[in-house]
Amino acid sequence: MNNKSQLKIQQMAFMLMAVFIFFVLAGLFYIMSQSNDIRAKANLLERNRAIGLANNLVDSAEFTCGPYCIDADRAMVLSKRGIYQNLWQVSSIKIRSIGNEKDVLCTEANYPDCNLIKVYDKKVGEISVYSYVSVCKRVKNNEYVEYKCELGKFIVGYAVKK
Amino acid sequence: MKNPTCKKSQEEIIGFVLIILLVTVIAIVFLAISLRKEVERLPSDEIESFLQASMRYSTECFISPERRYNLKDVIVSCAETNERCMNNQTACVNLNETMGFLLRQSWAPCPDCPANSYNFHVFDEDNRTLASLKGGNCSGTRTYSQVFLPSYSGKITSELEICG
Repeated sequence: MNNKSQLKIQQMAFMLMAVFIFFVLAGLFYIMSQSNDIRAKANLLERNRAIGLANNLVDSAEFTCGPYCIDADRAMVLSKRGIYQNLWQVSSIKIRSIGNEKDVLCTEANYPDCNLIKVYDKKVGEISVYSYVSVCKRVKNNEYVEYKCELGKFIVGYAVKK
Repeated sequence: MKNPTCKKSQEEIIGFVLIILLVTVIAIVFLAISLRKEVERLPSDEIESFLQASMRYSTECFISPERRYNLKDVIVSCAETNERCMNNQTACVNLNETMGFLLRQSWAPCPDCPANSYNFHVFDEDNRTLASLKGGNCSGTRTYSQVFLPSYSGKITSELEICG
């Protein structure tokens, strides 16, 4: 009789162990799926913060032609003046219009038939963030001068501290 | 006369099976609840900047030699009177063409790209779809943004959803 009881207790212990392990595994599975979700949200928040910084620069009086709008003519003027390198606390500012396969750097000679304006670049190791902007410039359309806007990226580079 | 030990074993087996069944049912209910929970969409500043910047994009739709429509004008025209551009395209056709180009340039799905699909649509207050453009297959985190445009026929909503 004593032996039988022991066997029963053993059986129950195994059963409880199995149920416990099952719930632990299910819990782990749930926590893993939730933590992946949290990581994705954290990454997105970080990205949104960086884009917010880029948007603040887009709204600078030196560039802007409205919300999410960059005046390319003004950016070209700024690119020729080195003093602006110390105005903003970022290591580079570039404006790239979307649409061309290859980048054509804007110079006085080829403007406006180009798609990349380097406002300045301190050429230090950096990470870059961007925000979409409309890049607007005055161009000649037959006998009219029009303010033509393209879609572009306002790319801001930050020096990486080592 | 049946063996009492055999009967007891059968009862224990039945008890064991019942417990397993109960645990399985609980697990299935738990899984079903978590899977049925609608996948959350997160608002994205990047998509908002894309939509806002696109609205100023100069399209190829000239209404007169000196008047070129931007994307916002084209959307509003498509919702209201669907004007015809000088190249004989209607505003709605131009909207599809222009936005398709911008989406392919910015969010084209590819193995190394941050986005694996896009879903853009424009609809008016009566939920009438003015444009709908899709690309790729959605997997991963879904992010979105909307911009609202005023018009005589009511509010027009442009929405872009990106998966990646």
